[in-house]
Amino acid sequence: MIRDILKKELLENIFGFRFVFSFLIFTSIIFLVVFLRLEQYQKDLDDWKTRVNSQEEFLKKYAHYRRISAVAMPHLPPSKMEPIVSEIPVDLTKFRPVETLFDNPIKIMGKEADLIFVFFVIGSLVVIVLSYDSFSREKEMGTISLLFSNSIRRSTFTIGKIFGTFVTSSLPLLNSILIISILIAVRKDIGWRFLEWTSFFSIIVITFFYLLVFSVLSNAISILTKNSITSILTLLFIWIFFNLIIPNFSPFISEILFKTPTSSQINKLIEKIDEERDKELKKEFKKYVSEGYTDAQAWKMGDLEKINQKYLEKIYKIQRDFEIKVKVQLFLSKNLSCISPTASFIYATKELSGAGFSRINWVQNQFQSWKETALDYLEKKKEEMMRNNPNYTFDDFIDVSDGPRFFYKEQIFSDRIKNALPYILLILFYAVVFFYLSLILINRADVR
Amino acid sequence: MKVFIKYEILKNIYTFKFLLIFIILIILFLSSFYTMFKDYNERNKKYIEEKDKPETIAIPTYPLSIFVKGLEEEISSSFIIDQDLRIIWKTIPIEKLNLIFSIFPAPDLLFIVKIILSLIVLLFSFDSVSGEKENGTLQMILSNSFSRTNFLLGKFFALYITISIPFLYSFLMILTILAILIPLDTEMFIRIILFFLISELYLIFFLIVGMSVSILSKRSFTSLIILLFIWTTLVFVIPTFASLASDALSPLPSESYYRQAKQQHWVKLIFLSIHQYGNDSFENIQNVIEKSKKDEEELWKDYQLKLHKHLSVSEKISKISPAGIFQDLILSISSTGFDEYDRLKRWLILLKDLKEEGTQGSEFSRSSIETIINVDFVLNVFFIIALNSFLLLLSFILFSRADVRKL
Repeated sequence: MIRDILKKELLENIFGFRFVFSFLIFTSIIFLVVFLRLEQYQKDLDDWKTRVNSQEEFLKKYAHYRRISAVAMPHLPPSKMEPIVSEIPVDLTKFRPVETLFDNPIKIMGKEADLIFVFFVIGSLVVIVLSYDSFSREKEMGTISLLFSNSIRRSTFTIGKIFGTFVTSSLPLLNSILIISILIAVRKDIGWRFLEWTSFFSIIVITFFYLLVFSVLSNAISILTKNSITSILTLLFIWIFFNLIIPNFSPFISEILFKTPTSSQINKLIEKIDEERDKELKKEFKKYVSEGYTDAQAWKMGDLEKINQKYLEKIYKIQRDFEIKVKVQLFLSKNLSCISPTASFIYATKELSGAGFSRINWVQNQFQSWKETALDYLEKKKEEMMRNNPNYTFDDFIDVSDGPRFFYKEQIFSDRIKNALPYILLILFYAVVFFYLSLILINRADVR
Repeated sequence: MKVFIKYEILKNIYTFKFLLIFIILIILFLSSFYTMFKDYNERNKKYIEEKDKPETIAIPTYPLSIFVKGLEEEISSSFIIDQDLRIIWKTIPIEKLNLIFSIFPAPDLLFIVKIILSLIVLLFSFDSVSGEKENGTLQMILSNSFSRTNFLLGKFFALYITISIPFLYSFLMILTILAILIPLDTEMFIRIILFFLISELYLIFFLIVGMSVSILSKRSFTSLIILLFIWTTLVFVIPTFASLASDALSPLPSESYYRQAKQQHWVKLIFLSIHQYGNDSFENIQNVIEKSKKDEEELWKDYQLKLHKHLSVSEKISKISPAGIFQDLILSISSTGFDEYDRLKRWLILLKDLKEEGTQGSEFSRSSIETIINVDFVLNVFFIIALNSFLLLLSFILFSRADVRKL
């Protein structure tokens, strides 16, 4: 029986105006987004290559110990998933002075369209448009009483309806997989490997789950409402609430609920500690000077170093506490926004593409490890130069061609899945809850 | 006509839909105001902490950023000019700390009017004519001596008044709270009135689109579906595509590219001059600074040229949609947009040059209302008015020519 209902729903929807219209719009937008993002990826890749080559050329001619840290920087390549998912920016200079002049204001303010954006804005709307009247239409036409007066079980009917509308709404998505795959495969310079293809297909699977949430929700609302117009209006309000209100308000609410000190407050605290340190060091210095020690001898005694270390630890603790507080605020914002399945969907897909929040730590750890190796290498190089040339100064050229280079390693697939899992489970939870709700509602509905 | 408008208004008002939308709007406006006001207070607190510090350039936050956040987090920051004469951020903008801000836009009044209110307008107007067709009342009305023009005008005014009631009420409510909390001067008041008027123009556009589609479609469902796709395209697709398309059409090198180029110039000059003169004496460093300044100016000019081209392409594409024009106008009025950020950068560079010369610069002040209302601004407003008039005329023609038997 389910098969018959499913078939009926499918045929009824597929030959309708709204399906053809939605299908065409969805397909053309997907094509445009991926096409333009491929161009953008190519541009970002070229920009990255230019920076890396320019750095190499520069180091070959002008590398010197005193200022090498100002010019030898890690350069992050654009994510290979950029043609479909925009990444969360990783700022490697977060707690260091950053020059303000050369930023792109569009990137700060404007949100660029990516596949995830199309799925959660247009995909969810398409699902609502295709399924808002699945039950209410039957009520309006009077066919629902007729159907229930037969031997068809209500649950069978509901399952058939839900899957019928879900399969119909999935057809534009299936078509988009084909378009994206062709566009990516044709561009051989993009060079997607097994990791990227696996991530892409898992994103599509999660998108199916996400669309299922809206499909089940639309059916539940359609059961609840007497006419189709009330059903679609209610669904549009829910859509606004899930897609536009909860995610957008959550970071501000978390900012109100959990305050973090401002960076200037942190700087003020650090300046105060610096002053205290200077005062104590001066006092200690005076003691040594009165005993006839020189500055260098005084430092060698170790007490001054201990004082210095004590204050450095205090500063480090303040910075670490600040970072922890910022992380707590981020955690709160994320969890608050997850009340909406859309936010969970965005986080899950970003994690699956290796461009989510977990990437920040992942990149920073790699950067830290490169920095340590590079500093170690530089110290050795300096000592070697000093040994070979007694007149060596820190402004003399040093050959760093054999030095460590920053190579970015992408997150492996199992890590991506692990990071995305809580959000995937949340999406599934919403789908199950709404599905269960639909079954309860249809069973309790008065057929009269 | 008056009776018809009154009847239509009452018909719209005494519905569950109107009540629900009224309540939603009040809640939305209040929660947006509360969150954005708290956010404004945080920025103000940062400014107060920084303003008296030596060597710090602190930019005060602007009260209108409560309504339109735009690039305010970047504009009302604190900067310092370091020993290498680099202009650097002293306070880190919140987006760089809590990255959720970089994913979802701020729920300010611009966001509510641009996205949510425009949809609400469509939800009111989608069945304005098609609903009458479905009920069979349209034929009845038109068979009387009531003219089609009067019918359409009546519908238009009734819908406009219905939508304006919750909007005006919520807007006045938060304006009163704002006036109590922050003293508003005349200029600020003019800006707020302009904000309201332009928002009304923008909402009228969606109202006319809703009515036009409703005239064209036989069923309300068809009308609603078409309108939903029009709304999605105008509000989401075109503005977000604009940035992507401008990346492809007028590429702008990354921020890292310019930073690297600048650092390399600086280090190269110091290296070469040390090896030329043999030391890094004061004269030598002065020489390096002079040379480096010229290179930096070139780099800055190159960036400015490419950025302006990039922004112009993006703006042109986003202006295909009235949502793009609306956003542009509102950002100008509230002085939190691209132009203001660009002005700030130019001012910082001027200040840096003056610092080198040993003189002090003037304080940074937001663009005055006279500067904002320029030819471009007037043309944009005129364009929306012309578009609305054209669409209204089109809907009149469509409705007048429609065969009453087929309605």
